[in-house]
Formats: sequence, structure tokens, C-alpha cells
Amino acid sequence: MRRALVALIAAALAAAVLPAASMAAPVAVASKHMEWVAGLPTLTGSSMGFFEREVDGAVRRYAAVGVMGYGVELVDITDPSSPTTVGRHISPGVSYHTDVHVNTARDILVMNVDRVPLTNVGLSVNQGLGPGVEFVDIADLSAPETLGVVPGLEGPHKLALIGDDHVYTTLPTYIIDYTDAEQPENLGYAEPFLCGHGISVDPTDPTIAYVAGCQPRNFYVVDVSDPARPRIRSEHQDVDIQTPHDAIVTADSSVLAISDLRGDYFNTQCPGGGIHFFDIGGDHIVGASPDNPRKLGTWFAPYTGARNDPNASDPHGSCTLHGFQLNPERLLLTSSNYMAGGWLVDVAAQTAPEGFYEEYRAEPGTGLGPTSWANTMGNWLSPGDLSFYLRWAPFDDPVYERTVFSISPTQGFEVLRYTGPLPEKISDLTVERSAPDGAVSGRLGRYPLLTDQGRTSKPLAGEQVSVSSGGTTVEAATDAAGRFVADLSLGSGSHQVEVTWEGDEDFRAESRTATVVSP
Amino acid sequence: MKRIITAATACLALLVGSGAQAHETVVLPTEIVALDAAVADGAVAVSGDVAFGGQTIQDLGSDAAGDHTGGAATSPLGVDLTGAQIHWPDPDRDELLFEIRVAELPPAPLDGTPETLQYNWDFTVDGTTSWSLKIMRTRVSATQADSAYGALFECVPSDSGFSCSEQVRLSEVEFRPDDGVVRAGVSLAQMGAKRGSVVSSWDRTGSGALWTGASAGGQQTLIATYDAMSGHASYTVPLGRSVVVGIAPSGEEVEPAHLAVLDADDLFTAQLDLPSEAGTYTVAAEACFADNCATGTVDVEVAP
Repeated sequence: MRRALVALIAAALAAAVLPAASMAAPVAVASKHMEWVAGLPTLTGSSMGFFEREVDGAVRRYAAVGVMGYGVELVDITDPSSPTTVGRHISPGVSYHTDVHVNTARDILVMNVDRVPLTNVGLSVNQGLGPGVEFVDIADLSAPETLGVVPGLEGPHKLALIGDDHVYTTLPTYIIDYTDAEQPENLGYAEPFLCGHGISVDPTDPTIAYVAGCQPRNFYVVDVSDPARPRIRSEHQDVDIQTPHDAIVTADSSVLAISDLRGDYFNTQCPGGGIHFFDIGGDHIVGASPDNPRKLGTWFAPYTGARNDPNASDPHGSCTLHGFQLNPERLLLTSSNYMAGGWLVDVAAQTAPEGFYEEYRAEPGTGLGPTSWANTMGNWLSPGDLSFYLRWAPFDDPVYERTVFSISPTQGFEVLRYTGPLPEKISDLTVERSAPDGAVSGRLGRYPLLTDQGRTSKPLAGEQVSVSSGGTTVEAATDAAGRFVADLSLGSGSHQVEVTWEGDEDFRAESRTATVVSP
Repeated sequence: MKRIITAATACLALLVGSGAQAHETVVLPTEIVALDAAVADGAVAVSGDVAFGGQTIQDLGSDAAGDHTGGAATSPLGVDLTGAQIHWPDPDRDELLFEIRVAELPPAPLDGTPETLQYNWDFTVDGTTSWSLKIMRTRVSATQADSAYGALFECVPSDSGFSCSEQVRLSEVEFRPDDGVVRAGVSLAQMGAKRGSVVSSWDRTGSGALWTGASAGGQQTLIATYDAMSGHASYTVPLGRSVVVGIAPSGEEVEPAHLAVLDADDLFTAQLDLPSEAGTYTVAAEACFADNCATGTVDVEVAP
């Protein structure tokens, strides 16, 4: 066994020093509204993170691709049709399920070296060479340098960056303070009930994190205002979620999505688990909030396997929902369903009676049968795929609007293009609670996108908003910072105000109702 | 407030419990400190002063020792539940004490040793609101030690499950190593209860209303229920303090039934009908807070 282990590690390292090779376009086993653009088949991996750099006055974009076995490949994706490896980090450990994140503000790559699931022996390399979390300086892409390693974390499965200086591991959850990345400190376990597979921070309120629990049905809302001392503030149970896997919130913090790894890796009946949606913003159900999530419905991939029979085991193996991600500016998600491939789903509304996957409605209980929320927009299934993650690259460039990046232990790194209808973007319209001198103010901006300075909310300047209260409406223009001021000459006291923006060709119309106080 | 429940006054306390499960949670007895009766204005005027003790411990249910997961190996972790109790120990505070009995208390986590155990007690109040009481010894995460942690989560059912949100952090949480009791004080207001409210068990997890959850295998990759009580008797919040008085010829049994007027300082007064026949009479008063009662008697002469 040990000899085999060494051989596997050697093979992995050998692969690492070879240039990544591109490949010919595969013929999809199944696809709709998606096409294959490019691929680096040797980058067989499990996760990726993104970052941006200004190089010689030009903006360049990169993916840090977690590669099974040896570490991370840094891939230039400025031209998504021609991804090119520009750097490589050989981790001192080896990993089955490398989870890679980029702290863009600090130019630090954070990656795990995880435990190999005993049940997956044969698919992966047993590590034992340094399980833990590794912090890598990627200021020089051609020569990444390890800053520090925290060992002894029982093989962290996934990571979540909490603020700029802390990272949480999962299964189990340790808290690592890497304020000094050269001497990162293990703060120990989080409280025991902060137990789950996936942790993510609320995109508009960084003091809140969501955790897909490690018990069937459970998920949690956690106060991370002090990242070193997370505290569960509410726990939730949904009887339909068999194996909570990831908990992710839409860019506007309106909807919480919990995925279900139903049946785990060995589930062979498609579609397996789905994604369960909860209103946490009150947009759909009055009273819904992060601590009072209200179920909107569930989406399942409309795919019933090679035999087209949801009740039959598929000869190709794993079929359940592994990873998903939400678009930075659209209510659009990507879903990775192992051998069922990758999917694009519009999560803005309940499932329409007719849609692009209408053909699956002909067979009750197959795919669309149990789906009640969201609408499938497209899919891609490469031959032999074992889709782990599809990712949007959250850059401010139209070239990425229809581009998704796929990572798979079998297909490697792939670039796919969505060709179907693109939902409008959502915008961040906020209203100040205080209305000095009777004037209502606020801001119209975009939800954060990734820049070389980290995630940045860019303004929507020069737009007209309508501000109404008590029968009076005032038009106001947004300035260069996206700010607007509308003098409604409000009297002293509280006032109900409605601010609307009609949107434009890219953004949907938005409206906010708020209570403002004029002194 | 006439007395403060302290260790110094414990010698006055009732030792309550049942059989082998008795422990040393103390409840002071109710005492009638003063009782007077006199004939005046065609009636028997009764007055007095009461020091009310708290409600005695109400055993709501028991759970067999040793029936937890892991047997002798896990018992020292504090997972083996043996009973559930509630009582109202101090009449001057609108606070119930929830007590969980365990075979052994969990050890205090050492530096670097994660705490793995949480006690959960899920209950409803008047069948309308649902609550989850959570207690941990320190809520420690290795180097970060807190004092004992207790919190009350309110749970709201939904079509497909429920949501429990922390409503209040409890200040009175105690682990009593001498008698194997974990307890937390919850005010009536915090749990939305009032006098006369009924606290009932609630099995929200499907495994029991009172349960010990812990990370399994020391890796915190699974939260497992190690022991659970499937249910327990309902508990009714006491209505409060009361004093009843009665009168009977000396030598006969008095059945106090006339409700006295009780003021905020626990001084009471009552007017009893003047007996038609002259003689010596016994006036009796019974003062109760819940089931903690005291009686006192005093003689009064009724002139011809």
C-alpha cells in the first residue's frame, strides 16, 4: 500500500511539472444552451479561486485551480478561450479535495490539504504529508512561495475565508488566524455545533455566515462579527434536505440556497439531491429574514441518467448535487452534479410551467417533477465527466458574462460558454435611514466584483431614480459615486419612502421601500 | 424579600428529591413568621407575616442510567441523562430553574481540548410557543474559554421544518459537580410564560425532548445524540403566593378556606365571621407558594 502511495505521489508531481496541455473540443453527452470553449485536461482538480492583477498597465485575470495530488495551478484566463498556466505551487502535502481561495486584498492563496475519505480510496492519494491549511504568497505568480502551514487539522475538507485574517475549515471546523501568514495560529475548534460541510459569508453583511450543517436537515446562521469567536445565532431544519452540503446566498442577500448531497458520492440514481431555496430578505414571503428563512422551493437537475430512469441505478456512477455557486450580479447559479454534469439555473422565481427542459415534464417524477423553484437554463455534460464545481469568474468584463469555468477530477479544467437567454443583472439600491433637511439620499451601485483590490462595489453613475413619499415624487440623478439626494422637503418625523430605478439594458428595474427619519 | 437563599441558610432548607436520585438542590421552607387574631368590629381580624419558600423540585421524568450511546466509556463525558426537573425556587423572582440530571458531569475542558457536549431541552409553553434551551459547560473553543453558557432559542415551525433563533443569553447557568446537575434559570418573560402556563415536552428532533448532543469521534464531523428522554410530564407554572385562613372551636380541626389579602411585603390580613357562640377558638392560616406550604395557628377568645 505504501509503495503504491509513493508511486501515486510521484506520478502526481511529475504531472505537475509538465506544461498543461489544451485539448480538442469534446462532444457533449448532453447539452443545451452551453458550448465547450477550451480545456486543460491535466488540471484534474476539485476547486478554483479567482483574482485580478494589473500587469504592465493592463488588467489580467487568473484562476487558481486546485489540482488533485499536488497543489495549485495559476491559470491566466484573461482570454477565456485560451487559458494558460503561468505559475504553479507544489504543495508539501497532497490532497484529494483541494479547496483553493484567494485573499485578493493580501495576495495570499489559502488552500487545504484534506483528509482522504476512506470510502474514496482508489480515487485519491492518501496524503499524510502535511494535512492542514497552507498560506501561499502569490505576489510573484511565477514563483509562489509558502508563507506558513497549519498542520494537525484532521484533514480540513473545505475552507471559508472570514474577513481578511481568518479562515474556517470544515469537517471539522477549526479557526485559523493568519493575520501573520508566516506564523498562522490555530485557535482551535469552533463550538461543536458549528459543524458542517460548507460555510459562506453573507455578501452584504459580513457579520453573518451560513453553514450547511453536518446533521441531516440542519443549517445554521452564525454570527462571525468576531471571526475568532463565531456564535450560532439560529439553527434551522428542513425535512427535505437529506445531506446539507453548501449554504450560499444570492448577491443581494435575498435568497439562501442549501444544496443536498443526497446519497453522497455513491448515489447512482439521478438526479440525486437538489438545491433548496429560502427567502431571507422578505422579498417573497413577509417576515422572512436570515434568522427566519422561509422555504421557497427546491430545484433538481432535470436529468435522469443514462437510462433515463430516476428509479434505476445509473451505470456511470455518482449522480447527485456536489457544488454550486451564485453569479455575482445575476440570480443565476451554476450547479455541478458529478456525472450529470454542469447546469445553469435562474433562481429568480418559482418554476414556470413551461421551460427549456419541458421535455422532462412528460415523465412525472423525473427532474422537473419535484422541482418547484428556479428554472433550468442550460447544461453541459462532457463524456466521462465527474463535475465538481462550475464557477462564474466575478470580474467586471463582458467576456465573463457568459463564461463558466468547470473543474473535474476526470475532465480537468474546462471553459464553457452559456448561449441561452441571459437574465438581467440586479443592482444594489440603498436608502439612508436619516433624511437631514427633509432630503432623501442613497446609493445605486453594482454588487461587488473582483478587482485587484479585492471585492469592490462599483457605482452606477448618471442614472435617474425616482424618490416618492406622501404623494410627492422627486427625480434625482446619481453622481460619480452612485449617490443620489432627493429633496422631498420632508417634515420632522418618520416617513415611508419608495425609491425606484427603471433599470437599463443590462440591469433590471429595482425598487426599495424604506422608513426614513427626518430630524 | 425576607430571606436570601444562600449557603448560610441551607441548614434551613428542605432537601428534596426522590430516593436514590435525591440531591442537594435546596428550597427554603415557607414559614408563617407571625400570626395574630383578635375580635374587632363584629369580626375576627386576622393578620400575619409570611416568609415564602420556593416551589419544591418537580420531577418531570427520569431516564435510565447507562442507556446512552457508548456505555461506560462515554459516561464521563456527561452524556448520560438521568432526569429532568423544573421548579420555581425563589418566589421573589419570576424565574424557573430547569435542571438536567446526569450520571456524571462533563469535565471542564482543558486548554486546547475542545468542548464537545451540549445539553438541549426542547419544550413548548401553553402549546403555542416552542423553545430550545441549550447549555454548555464553557462553550470553549480551545484557547477561548467562556463561563458556563446557556441560551434560549425560540423555535418557529414552518411547512418543511422549523427555525430556532437565539432570543436571550441566560445569565444563571450552573454545573454542579457534587450532585450531577446542570441547570439554568429562565424567567417567565423570557420564555413567554405566565403564572398558570403549562410547560410541555417537545420532540423537535425526533429523538427526544431532552437530549445530549456531541460531536462524534472527537472530530466534530458529526453531531450525534448520545442520550435522550423521549418525553416528560408537563409542568404547570405556579399561580403564586396565597394565604388562606379559617376558624374552628378549639380542639376541632380547622379548614382554612378564606383567602387573605396579601401585600407586597407578604403581610396578610383577613376578616372572619365572628362565631355566634362564646368560647375559645383556633384561627389557622395556611400560606403556600406552589406546593411549599406552612400552617400556623393562634387562639382567640370570643366573648359572650
